[in-house]
Amino acid sequence: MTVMQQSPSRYLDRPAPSSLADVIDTILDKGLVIDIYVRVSLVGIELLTIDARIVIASVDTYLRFATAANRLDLTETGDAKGLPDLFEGITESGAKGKTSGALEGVKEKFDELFGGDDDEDDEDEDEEPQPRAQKKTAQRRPQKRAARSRSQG
Amino acid sequence: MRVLVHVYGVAASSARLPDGLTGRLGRPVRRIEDDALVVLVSDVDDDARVRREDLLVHAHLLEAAVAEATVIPSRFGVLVPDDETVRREFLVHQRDHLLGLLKAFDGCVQVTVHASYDEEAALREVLRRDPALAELRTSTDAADTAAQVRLGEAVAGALASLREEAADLVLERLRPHALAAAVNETRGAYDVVSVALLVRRQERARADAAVADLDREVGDRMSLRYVGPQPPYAFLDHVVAEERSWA
Repeated sequence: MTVMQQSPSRYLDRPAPSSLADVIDTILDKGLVIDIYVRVSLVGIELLTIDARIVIASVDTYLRFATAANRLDLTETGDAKGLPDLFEGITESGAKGKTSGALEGVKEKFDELFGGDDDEDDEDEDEEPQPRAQKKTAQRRPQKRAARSRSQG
Repeated sequence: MRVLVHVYGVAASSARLPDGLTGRLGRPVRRIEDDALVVLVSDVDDDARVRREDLLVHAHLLEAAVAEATVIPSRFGVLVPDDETVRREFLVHQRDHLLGLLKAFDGCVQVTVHASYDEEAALREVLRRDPALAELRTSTDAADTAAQVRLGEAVAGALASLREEAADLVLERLRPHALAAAVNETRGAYDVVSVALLVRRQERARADAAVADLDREVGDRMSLRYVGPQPPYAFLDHVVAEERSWA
């Protein structure tokens, strides 16, 4: 597989301060409480919390998964050869043979149908400025900008 | 306008805490203390709205404090009418409980590792593993919404298994390097696991190394975030009943 750009001094050498996403899961949920004084029902928090919640089992979400899966171009990227052998004994066949032309057609159709539903985490507009987070996956279709990690907001 | 007291957390009054901490609304952090305990507080207006910044101030202040001393964190939103009530509730009524917690967590910090699968890597992997799913993808009519929902549901199911397996791997790699581990709730479709580790401050390098090793091992398919040191948020409940020590 292609070598990834992984510098030796990444931030993971040490823990980093909490981001907003982290604090929602920690300081609002956990910590010492003396019940009678808690007044968390303050404006703003609800919105923040809702932001962070993603309902997984819904029709909308299933359609997104389908769209995301359809977008994958297994042919161009060399299929399983490009992937690390994460798990042993798994067949490498079965997903080849799609043409990128057909896939593009599918993608356009879905963008047309569901593009409006996409939230900020989805990539469906190529003219959007900079990717927020660099994906480490080295192989991707050249005309696509880097996808963004969903959970780093 | 009334002024209330925001409580950040509690430490031993002998603890060495950073000087000049700034709290919510840019106001100075004050100490309310007796011979054994110190409560870190700052003033907030009764009608102050909570902004994102307030949440971060609370978290970062405690992270700064825990870098130097054992701290029992308050949940965000504990607002007390005045100093006298803080004194009565924390230093008197809760005294034994707080001393017990401080003893149990003496010298410990929490660090948290969030692992999430890269979307593309996850989708490729589930399609690679399951030829039937790959075939379903190929054969599903793009214009048939119901069929697309079924495809998506199948993908979601495969992703769930993948996540579970990846979570087991992450926990297996990290658990041995912590006194205790607590798994936090995760919600995102590609979130693998969020795990809080309780580690001794002096042995944190071991946890750091384990996380760095894990990152090298799974970095081609997962993104890790490593947060801390934090006060032991995720472990407070563990010691409420029994005054357990991690030693």
